[in-house]
Amino acid sequence: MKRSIFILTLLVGLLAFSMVAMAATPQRVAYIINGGLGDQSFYDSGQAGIEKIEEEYGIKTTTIECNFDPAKYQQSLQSAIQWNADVIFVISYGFEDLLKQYADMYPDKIFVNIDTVVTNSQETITSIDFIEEEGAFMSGIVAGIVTKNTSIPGVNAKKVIGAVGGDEDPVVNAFIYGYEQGAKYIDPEIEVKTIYAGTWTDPVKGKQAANQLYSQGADIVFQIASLTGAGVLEAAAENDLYAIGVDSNQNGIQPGHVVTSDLKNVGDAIYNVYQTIVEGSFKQGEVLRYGLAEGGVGLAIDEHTRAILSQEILDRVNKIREEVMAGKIEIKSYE
Amino acid sequence: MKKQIITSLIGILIAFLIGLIILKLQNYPALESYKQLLNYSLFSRFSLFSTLNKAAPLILTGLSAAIAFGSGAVNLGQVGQFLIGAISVTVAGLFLNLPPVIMLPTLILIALLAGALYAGIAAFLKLKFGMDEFITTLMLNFIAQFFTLYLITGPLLDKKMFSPMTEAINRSAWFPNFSGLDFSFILALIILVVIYFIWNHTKMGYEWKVMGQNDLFARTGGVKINSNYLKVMLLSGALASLAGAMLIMGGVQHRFLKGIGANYGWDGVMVAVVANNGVIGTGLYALFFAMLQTGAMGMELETSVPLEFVLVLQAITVLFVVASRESAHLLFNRLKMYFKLRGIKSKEEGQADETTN
Repeated sequence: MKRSIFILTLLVGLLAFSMVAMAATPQRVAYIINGGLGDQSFYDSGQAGIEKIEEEYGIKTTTIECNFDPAKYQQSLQSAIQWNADVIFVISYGFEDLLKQYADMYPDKIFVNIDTVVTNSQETITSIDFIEEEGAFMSGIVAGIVTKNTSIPGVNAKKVIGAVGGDEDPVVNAFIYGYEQGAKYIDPEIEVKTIYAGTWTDPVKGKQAANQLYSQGADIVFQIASLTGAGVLEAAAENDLYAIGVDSNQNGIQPGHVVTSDLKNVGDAIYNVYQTIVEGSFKQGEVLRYGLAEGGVGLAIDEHTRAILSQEILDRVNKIREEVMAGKIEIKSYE
Repeated sequence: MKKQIITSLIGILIAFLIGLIILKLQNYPALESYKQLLNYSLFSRFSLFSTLNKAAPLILTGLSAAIAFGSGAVNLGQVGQFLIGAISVTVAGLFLNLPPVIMLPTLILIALLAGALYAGIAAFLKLKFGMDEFITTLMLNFIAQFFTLYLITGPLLDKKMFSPMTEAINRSAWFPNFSGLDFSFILALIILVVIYFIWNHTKMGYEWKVMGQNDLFARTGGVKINSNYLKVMLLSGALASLAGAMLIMGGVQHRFLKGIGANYGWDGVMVAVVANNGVIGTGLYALFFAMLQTGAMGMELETSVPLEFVLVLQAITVLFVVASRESAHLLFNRLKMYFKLRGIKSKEEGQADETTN
């Protein structure tokens, strides 16, 4: 009896020790994305965080790109498990069901889902959810100010602004919902025209969509379309008009035409979560919300912005930002 | 038959050798990469099963192409027929709910019918108006692509999900899963055997083969070209369609998601071309390509060889096998002749020796 208790405590101790040891420094981190790198936007932002982890902690990391190919979804998760990843950061658009199944099958692995909230039956998936409405609200503010300010070269008298989305999905719709609220906050008469390109990888389609919006009187177009959005920025330069970038700082891609970018700091969020894992304050199954106040979303204001917008306008934008953060302006969330 | 297998194996071997040189030239650990490629596709239960699961739809699209090409019908509509099969099963799976014993055969039947009908459009246009199925099947692919895209982003869209896809079909329509191995693979094997039988052991199959080799000869010999052509097209469409159905009924997601067709249609055509429209060859090459595609990701993880490398490997295999098929046969025949002749010669010499003595 005594002996079995002794063995039991030993076992429990060993288990606890191994868990602590595991929690200390995960050695292998995988970053699985449904799309592909090189969009200078969403996926690249996450990649920057992964690279920072590798640099600062000296561990092994890997990135698995599915390039929107459903045939690769299961393989990506399966391979990451077989590769012995301790922490798996995943952007799981299109394979949420698979992610749930794998998280249930491997409860000792840390799965961190990015950009959406995915809950498995054992609640082991941690989700990083960005409050898109807040960042997009600020883009709407800038777009509203630009379209009303005819002293900015190229801006017409029509109160029309545009947006180009990749697919019509709840996240893109949250962006547009926030964008619209921001614009209407400046002037309720502003009209927002939206086109969904139906693809995340085709800059030509993005360019067509943006050209269409510009010809309908929009002077500024907000792109929420990953690589497709590169075409939107290009269209802005060719029409000598304006665009707003998304997710990463895209102001420098077409200097003088990208007014600002609605940042979604995926990389920072990934880095922060990894830090909490190392420090031991990480909680499995949590939903982490990153908004304006947490620095998860926000506008990229740099010299390219200042070349287009006057200091006066920037002060006004900043004031509104502070009011949003202080809770003085209420932003409704999508659904 | 034997010759075919040997040329195929040599083709694969040479593709791997050329791949080895490419890897070495780029300073990747070549042998290690191959080892990992196999590790992640064959050498564990999970990886082996994922290879087999992936092979299942490929076998069917491959057979679909092989049967059509082998009978002289250029059905290039696997992509469209695949999607039509997938969407019809999705719709049936969403709105029907019967006990699995009835549900599964019903849905399989629906898929077969839907694909046959869709390929039937092209066959009808050919028989009635003489329109080349090479063009019509290709164009029907686009119709299927945009029609299904419309359905999953419109009427069938699951609004709760984060990207365009339908809801999951009823549970009774899910294929059973044997600890990782999908029923799809077993079904594909059964179909393979059936097709093998039809192709090699029935009068119909013989007529098809004759049609494929010489249309005029078949006609002169009394083969009913038109009705046989129709049968081939319907069967070919049904097979590709069943491949699409597998992707919905098997696997994990059980939803029609955007881009679900991936490359299965065109890979099927490729498999049939490499296998020279042989039934067994199609099955083997489908397995081989499935293995490459399954292991590619693991190879990239372990040795950071980009997974696109397997596409290179596939391309070399196709090029080599197809290009060398004829010359390899020629070489075989030459060698055979050489040995035969030598045999005769030595006999003659022996006889000559005897006489001089």
